[in-house]
Amino acid sequence: MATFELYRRSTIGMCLTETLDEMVQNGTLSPELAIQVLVQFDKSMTEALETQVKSKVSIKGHLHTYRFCDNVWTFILQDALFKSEDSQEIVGRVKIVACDSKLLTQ
Amino acid sequence: MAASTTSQVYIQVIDDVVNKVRDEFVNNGGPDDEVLKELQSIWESKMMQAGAIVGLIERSGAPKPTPGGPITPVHDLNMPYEGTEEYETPTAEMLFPLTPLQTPLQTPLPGTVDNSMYNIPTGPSDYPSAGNEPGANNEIKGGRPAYVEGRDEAERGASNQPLTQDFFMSSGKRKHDEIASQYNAGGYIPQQDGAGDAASQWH
Repeated sequence: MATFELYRRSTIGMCLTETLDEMVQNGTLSPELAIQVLVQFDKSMTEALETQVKSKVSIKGHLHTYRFCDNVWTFILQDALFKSEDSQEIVGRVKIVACDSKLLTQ
Repeated sequence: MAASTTSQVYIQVIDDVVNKVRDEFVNNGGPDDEVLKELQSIWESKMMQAGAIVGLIERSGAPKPTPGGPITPVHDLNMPYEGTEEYETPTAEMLFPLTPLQTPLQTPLPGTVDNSMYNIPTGPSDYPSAGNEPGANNEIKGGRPAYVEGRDEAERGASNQPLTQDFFMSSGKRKHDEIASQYNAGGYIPQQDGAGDAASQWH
């Protein structure tokens, strides 16, 4: 099953990468095993987003940058207002990376 | 509510990863189950530091990059990368492999330069936060295309320190050019900005 690696750039992905780097540098973990953990993270994150995330939000803000390159949309928003059913929040800077899941060959 | 839901998803992702890589850790001469527990413990503590709740993540991330400035991404490696990515958009875009593009911002150079030059003296009254960052970025790219390309190469070298120096040098050069242009127009060559202002007021 193929997955995207872009989730590694999220907060949970960066925390995992930092953890693995520290453990490899300490000699507690081998680099090969660290890579396997990252690959599993890609799969678990994709599955979680598909099956566990049900909420929807609307986003409105200043579109600072937009780009479509190699079938990947990248949007950078400023002062984005996120509205969900039960709450709303303003975020100073947001980066959205959108990949078409149909591009994955399973 | 939304924050709690997000936290639950994150916790489930962590548990899912840990459970599915357990065989690799325990079997085939793997390190040990203790190493896997340590991995999970460190990962979860980093998530809590970064703000397990979405609200805290934005709030803690936003103010940190501002005071640190260019020094933050180079020295403080323990800060969450989200802040760094948010602060240095070009670097993050260049480092992201799925979107390979040399020029992050594609805007008409002449128009951008004119707008930025006009905005700087009067100040971005309409949109302060947006005006500053885009203006700075546009000026760098519009004024010196060749230099921008060089800067991109430096970024690809995966070296943060030269990037910071280049950015600073470029900023200094631009200011110097602006000051020179003002001096030529006024006909005076004072050594201080205050003197320049006084000269303009005198006119």
